[in-house]
Order: sequence, then structure tokens, then C-alpha cells
Amino acid sequence: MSQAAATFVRGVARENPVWIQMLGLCPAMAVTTSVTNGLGLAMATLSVLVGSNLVASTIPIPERARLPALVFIIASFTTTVVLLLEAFAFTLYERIALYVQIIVTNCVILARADGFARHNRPHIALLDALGVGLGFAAALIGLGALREVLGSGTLLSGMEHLFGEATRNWEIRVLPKGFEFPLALLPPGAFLLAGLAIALFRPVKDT
Amino acid sequence: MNLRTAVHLGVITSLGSLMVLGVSQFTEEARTENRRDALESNLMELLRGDAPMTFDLDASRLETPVALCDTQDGLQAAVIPGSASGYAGHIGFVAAVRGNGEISGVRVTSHSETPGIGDVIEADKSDWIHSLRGRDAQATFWELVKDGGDIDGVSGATITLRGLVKGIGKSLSQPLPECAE
Repeated sequence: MSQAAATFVRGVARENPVWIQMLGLCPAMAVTTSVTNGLGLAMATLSVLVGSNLVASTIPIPERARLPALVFIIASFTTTVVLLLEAFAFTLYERIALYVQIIVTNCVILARADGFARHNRPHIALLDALGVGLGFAAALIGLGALREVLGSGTLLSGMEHLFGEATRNWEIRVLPKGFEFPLALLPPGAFLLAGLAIALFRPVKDT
Repeated sequence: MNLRTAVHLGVITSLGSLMVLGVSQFTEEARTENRRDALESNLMELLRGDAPMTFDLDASRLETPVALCDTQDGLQAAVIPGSASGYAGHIGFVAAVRGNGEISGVRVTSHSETPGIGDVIEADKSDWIHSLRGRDAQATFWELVKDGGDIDGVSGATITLRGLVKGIGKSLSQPLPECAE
């Protein structure tokens, strides 16, 4: 496998930011009460990640002040994404704006910009951002699906907030009404399920 | 060396600020319009044909009571934003009252109550909030039935509903806003 392809695949699987590196656990647990919310935050995170990795690999970052410089770059991209959401995807903005704003403090993005993008060429940094971003998305969507099925008994509800009215009927009822398990939607449920997922991913890490 | 770092940081922050400023300017119109549209469609849903169907809101956020007036008949309805304390923090809501004092509808706009239990206050999750429609704002005793009031509770969500009902009562005890002559 070429270096470029390896960079991309690594982020998705063997170095999955959430399940293997355990970075970004806070947003991963805060928003994932449904697939829709997880997907929305994952898309926003992916765009910030691509932007900050590209900038960090293109312009020279002052060595002695690299943290303020990188955090500023990430904050600029995050604010931009929030503004664009508010302008072009308002219903989604209303649901996830709070969590999108705290992407600034998402250590996955800072770790990629500081630990990888800074020392690599832009196209490699871009592939890294896409790989890690998709890995983050997979983790959020997976946890979101699990919590939504257990807690609300549905899957893909609220998709119209992401992709418009035509997708309203994507909702699937998995558990009959009355069999939901609300704990899965609460923070303790998120910790339990995330802990299980991390345990399940141990074999991947050890290989 | 320090000066170089400072200049370097200065360049990065200027570029970042320029980007944010540019996007902010570029999207300003769309963002204000979205906020106003969202607010108007919420109000429309609350008033459902009970009041003049066109109204002009200057603000894109509802912060104080707004009177919806008719040039001949005076006050048609009033939209009153309020806040209550629930089981897990503040509950924001908007109440719409017709000119004759009848509740046209109430909607919760923000809350952090327990999912699956306290979210009976959401209009699309439960019928509870719809049961307030048609009540007389002044004549209703805004407490839960189990506290001696007029409003039916929901088992499991007593603290949420007790707080919300009190909050609604408090907001509605203010005189309705008046129409400018």
C-alpha cells in the first residue's frame, strides 16, 4: 500500500481516534443520542479537520507558539462552519450548534494538526484529515445508532433536519413502543456503551 | 526570535480573523432571515389562524412580549416568552394568548429535562402541552392537580411539569402587551 493510502486507512481503522486513541470522547458521547446528531457533528468535525490540517501543513507554524497558533486556526474554521450552518442548514444548526462550537476543544483536531499535518505535505495531511474524520464519523454514527435503537427504539429519525423533508420517512422503528430503554440516551448510558465499544476494539489495537 | 514569533502569530491571527469576518458578512442576511423565519413559523403554528396571519416582527429573537394588532379591532393576540425551572435547569417557552385571554398554544423552546421522561413537555413527543390550548390565561389556577391546581400532571414528570406550569402562570399573570394607538 502506498504511503498515501496507508495514511488514509490508518485513521479510519487501526488508529481510530475514538475507539483506539480515545480522543474526542466528550463530543462522541455528548451528541450521540441519535444517528442524525452523530452524523451532523461528524460532518462538521470533518470539515474543520480538513481545513485545519491543510492550513497547518501549508503555512509555517511558529515552533515556540504552536499551540495558540493552531488553536486559533481551528477556532477560525469552527466559527466559519457554525456561521455556514446557521445560514444554510438552520434546523440542524438549532440542534447541534452548541456541540459544533466546542469542536474548538476537540483534541482529535489539535492532535492531527500538531502531531501530523505540521510535518507533512498538504496532500498527505488532507488524506490524514479525511481518514481520521471518517474514523471519527464511524465512531459517532455507530454509538449514535446503538443509543438510538436502545433508547428511542428507532433508527435514522430526524434525518429531515440534515437532508430535507424528503428524508423524513427514513425513520425505521426497531423496537416496539414501550420497549425503549431511556438509560441509553442519558450520559451514564453513553459511558457504559462507549466503554463496551472500547473494550471490543482492544483486539484491533493489539494486532 | 520573540519578535519573529509575535509577527508570525500576528499574521496567522489576521488571516483567520479575515476569513471569519468575510464569512460572517457574506452569510449575515441569510442567518438573520433564517432566525426570523424560524420564529415566525413557530408563532404561526402557535396561533394557527386565530390571529392576523401576517405580522411584522422587527427582531429575529423573541425576548419580550409582542402584541399582534389589527388596525380596527386592536389586540388580536400576544406572544409571551418565558422561562421556568424544571428538573434539570431552565425550560424556555413561548405562550400565545388571544385578545380575549384564551390560550392559543404553548411551546417549549429549550430544555434539558430527562429524555424519555421529562420530554413530555415537547409538542411532538406528547399531547400534554396541547392540553393547555383553550384555557383561560387568567382564570386558570396554574398549579398541578396534585398541588390543588387546575393542570393535570404526568406520572414520572411531576417536578418538570410543576416547574413549567408555575413558570407559565407567572408569565401569564403579567398584563398583556398593548397595541400602539
